[in-house]
Amino acid sequence: MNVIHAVVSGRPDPVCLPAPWVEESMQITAGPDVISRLPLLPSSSAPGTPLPAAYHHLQERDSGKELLFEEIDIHPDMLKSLLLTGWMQARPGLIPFKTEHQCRRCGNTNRHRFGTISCARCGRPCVYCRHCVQMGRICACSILYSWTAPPMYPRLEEPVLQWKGTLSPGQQRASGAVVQAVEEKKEILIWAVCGAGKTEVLFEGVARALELGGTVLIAAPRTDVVLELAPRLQVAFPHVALAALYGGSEDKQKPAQLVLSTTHQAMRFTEAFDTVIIDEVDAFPYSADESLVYAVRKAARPDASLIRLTATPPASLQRQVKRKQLPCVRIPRRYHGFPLPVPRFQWAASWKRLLQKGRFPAAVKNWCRGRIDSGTPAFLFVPSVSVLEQVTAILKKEEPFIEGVHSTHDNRHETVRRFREGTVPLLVTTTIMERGVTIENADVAVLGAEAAIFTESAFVQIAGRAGRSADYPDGDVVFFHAGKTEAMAAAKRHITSMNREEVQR
Amino acid sequence: MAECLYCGESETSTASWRTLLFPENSGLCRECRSLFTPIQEPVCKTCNRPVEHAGTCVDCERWEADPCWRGILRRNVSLFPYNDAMKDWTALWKYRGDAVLAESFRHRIRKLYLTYPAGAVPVPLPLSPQRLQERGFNQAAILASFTAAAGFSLHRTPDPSDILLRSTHEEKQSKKSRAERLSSTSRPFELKGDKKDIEGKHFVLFDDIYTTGTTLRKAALPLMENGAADVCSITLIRG
Repeated sequence: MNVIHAVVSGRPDPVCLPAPWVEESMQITAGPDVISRLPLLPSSSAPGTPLPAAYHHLQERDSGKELLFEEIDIHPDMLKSLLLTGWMQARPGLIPFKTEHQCRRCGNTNRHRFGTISCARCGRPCVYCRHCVQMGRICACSILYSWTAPPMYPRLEEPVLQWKGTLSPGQQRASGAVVQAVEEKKEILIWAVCGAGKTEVLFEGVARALELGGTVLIAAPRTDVVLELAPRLQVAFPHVALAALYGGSEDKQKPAQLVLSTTHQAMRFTEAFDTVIIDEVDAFPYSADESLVYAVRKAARPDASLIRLTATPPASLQRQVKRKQLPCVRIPRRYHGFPLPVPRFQWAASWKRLLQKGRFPAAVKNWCRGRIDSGTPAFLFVPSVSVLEQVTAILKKEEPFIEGVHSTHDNRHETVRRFREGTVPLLVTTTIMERGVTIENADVAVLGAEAAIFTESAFVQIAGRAGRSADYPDGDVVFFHAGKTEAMAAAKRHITSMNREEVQR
Repeated sequence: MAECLYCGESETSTASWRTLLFPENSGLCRECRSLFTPIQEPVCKTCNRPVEHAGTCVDCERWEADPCWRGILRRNVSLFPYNDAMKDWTALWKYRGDAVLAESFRHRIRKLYLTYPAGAVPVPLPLSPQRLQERGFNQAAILASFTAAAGFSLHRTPDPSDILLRSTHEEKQSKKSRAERLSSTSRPFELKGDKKDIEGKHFVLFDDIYTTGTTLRKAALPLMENGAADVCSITLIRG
């Protein structure tokens, strides 16, 4: 479908409209043409008049998002009048970038990640973005519709935050810094060890942002983390409209002032949030995929406060902190005040060969046996899915209740739930479980620690699974390896240096 | 070093004699290539379904016993079984609309088409205008376009609207049960072109999937009624 730019009565700037909706009274300034070939109009401002009440629910539902026609679920006539009055705007999905294109939803500019189809909608060969095609295809003729103003959120019932816990001294300091960042619309990095209680550190800041009438995005790297955080946040903020977004989530059309989203799902938002919190900034896939960085940046308003949380900041952020370009608060102690368990290294060479023969290195086998016999829940991390399957098969012969999980596992969440309950005594896992899963009293082992997939930050996160509760602050952390790597040594240094750091008052 | 067309991971295997001589599943990395294994013999000689003993399967015998449908579709050949990997792939290709994914199978489709008599006319199954707008492209037309030699095209890309027309808008076949599909007596396809373009010619219908064979037979019907010599079909998947 072609579009035009036209001057319509009552609007100061030209508006972008699908060509079939042109009326004679309109003065056409550009087009008709495929939307991505017309100049990009500046983001429109909302009209000064109030929005009729009948449209409020639509605005609340879709505000902040840029959606394809297939996604918006608004009657075309209604859409047309919203465009003409300036309450909504039509913008291109793809824009020209150098000699190629950029996808405005995911930021993709890699020309290998575009395809061409003979498009039935515009009747021409049409370029489309393959990178985010999973969320509905955006091609050169696709129009993204968005609201030009956020809804007015009703005044929240006080107190917004109903959390009754207490913060540790380290958490208290970080929490104050978050509140300040929210109020002053600044950036901050919270560098907190695993188990410092990062979520609680956010509560006061989120409450402040909501009280100010703003919208808040908490972006987490993976669905598992979103699923774990959502109920905790809803309990803390019982009167706040909260949506938890992940692939297959039922909240996608739920109006929400507080959005908890996987970084992937944040792609649909544009300049939507006053406060953006990125949990686990260093986590795969956020750090691996530039488009997710783009997505979270795009979701934030230009003057939004940006709060990043991590236990293992990537080198680039550490550099910024060192140069004092990025304010940072460190929480070197866990909320219960005990030091982090320090990993020990144990030699287990030729484990691959043994696995192939259906056997297991004696040291690892004894370790597993010990956990099962004493009833201590245990994680066994392995470097790949194929190793995971071998290991699980061998261990199941010993103890049928042992399970293995990896990222493409269908009932992964169910298995993790059973592990939490204790009906699965030992969980074999790939690095998928390295973050955000809290199980009291757990011990942790890594098999094949020399593999490249285990980076320093992965090890720090893995070691962080142990000793999470005040009742069991210790936990055994052992890396079985066939050759010590720099990453293993660096992780150990990282943990011991955090333990040595004086708790600042 | 190119990216795998399907998973997007970088393809580390470099060009070798093998990839030059056997370009099947091109553009895919080793792991993705291994996901798609062609249908293995023995198969039903009419519909290409994998069976225990070569010959004609029960369903095809039933089709041929029905006087209305006897001889309407001479033979179907499909490339891949509809396994979990193929289901995921189809979801991305057809429903999410990552249309270029089919490029991986260009070579196989062309090779298969070349086994048909020279001059056999490739006819992609058309979509109804409404469905075409919805989807934005016709997946069968993409497959049929692979029959032209890569690089230069002597033939114009076959246009589905040239020969057949799908006038009625039905519910998606994939949302119907087998019984519903078989019992429906509708005639969704009609001839668009001239009868003299049909008479005495061989046709190869293209579609993404052969499930019960009803859709393909319904598309073959107007061709056979107008004097086509015979109608065969090629589908990417045998459901």
